[in-house]
Amino acid sequence: MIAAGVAIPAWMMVWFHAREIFWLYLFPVTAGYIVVSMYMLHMRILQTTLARGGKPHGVFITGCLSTMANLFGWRMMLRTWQLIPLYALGVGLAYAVMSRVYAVRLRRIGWLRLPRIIWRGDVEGVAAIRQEVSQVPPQGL
Amino acid sequence: MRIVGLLLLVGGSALAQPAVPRPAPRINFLEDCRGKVTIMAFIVTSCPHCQAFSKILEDLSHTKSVCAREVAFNEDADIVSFTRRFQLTFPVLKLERGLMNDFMGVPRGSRVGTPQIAVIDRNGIIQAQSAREGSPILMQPEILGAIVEKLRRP
Repeated sequence: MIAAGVAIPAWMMVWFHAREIFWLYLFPVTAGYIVVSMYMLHMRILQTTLARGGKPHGVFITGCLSTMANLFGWRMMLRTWQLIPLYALGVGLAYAVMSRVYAVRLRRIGWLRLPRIIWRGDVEGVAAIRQEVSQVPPQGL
Repeated sequence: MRIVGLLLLVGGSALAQPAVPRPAPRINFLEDCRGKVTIMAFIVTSCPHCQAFSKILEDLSHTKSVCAREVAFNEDADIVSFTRRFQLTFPVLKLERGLMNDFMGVPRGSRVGTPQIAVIDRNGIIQAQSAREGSPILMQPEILGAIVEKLRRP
């Protein structure tokens, strides 16, 4: 409570409330979303590595990062229970989005390797991956 | 009927704490601060927000020359080690919880968010104070600094 006579610059109030909205509402949603996205990404990389017999670097890195993100999210939520529904909202949103993702592939642009999402609705992309996978001989675990 | 109930609820919560500006209750601890802009904080020594605010208050006491005072009201408060740990140069006192309730105008026995902060102008009038559940806005150094600057002007 601040007396009406003590006028605070408007930009300070706007900046304060913007930060408040981010940390109270947007951050828990983002944290929940990132945690699930990373676990799902990890599972897909794991499956691809198992199927193709590739090197386990990606599995190790995404495993570490997703666990770190998960524990970080939990630690943030433990501060106050009011953040839990928003965290759950982010988790639900990530599951919904990731259920529509068929694969994540790396696209080379020069030396840069950028991830490219192949959605379930992308018929050509899905067919190309299926054909590619069918040409790889199965490998023993 | 529902609207009346809602109005009573809103009105009741608004009346639960006196509005600002209002004269600050006279306590001996603030006698040295007469004629100066003062920030009075009621803290719980184990509360992380209070610990963070103590550092902010320490900075403000130097940069803005405010008269800073803190009162710890938790029963197990060890103000000597608290002052030493956070290297505070302003006085910190331990008092009973009831004094905080009376000073901030919060009914005794009710739960409060800490720190409870009051900004008092040079005439001894509280110009800003925390809501009962605590006010993060008053814990922002830049906002508190702006309030102090306004109050320092004649």
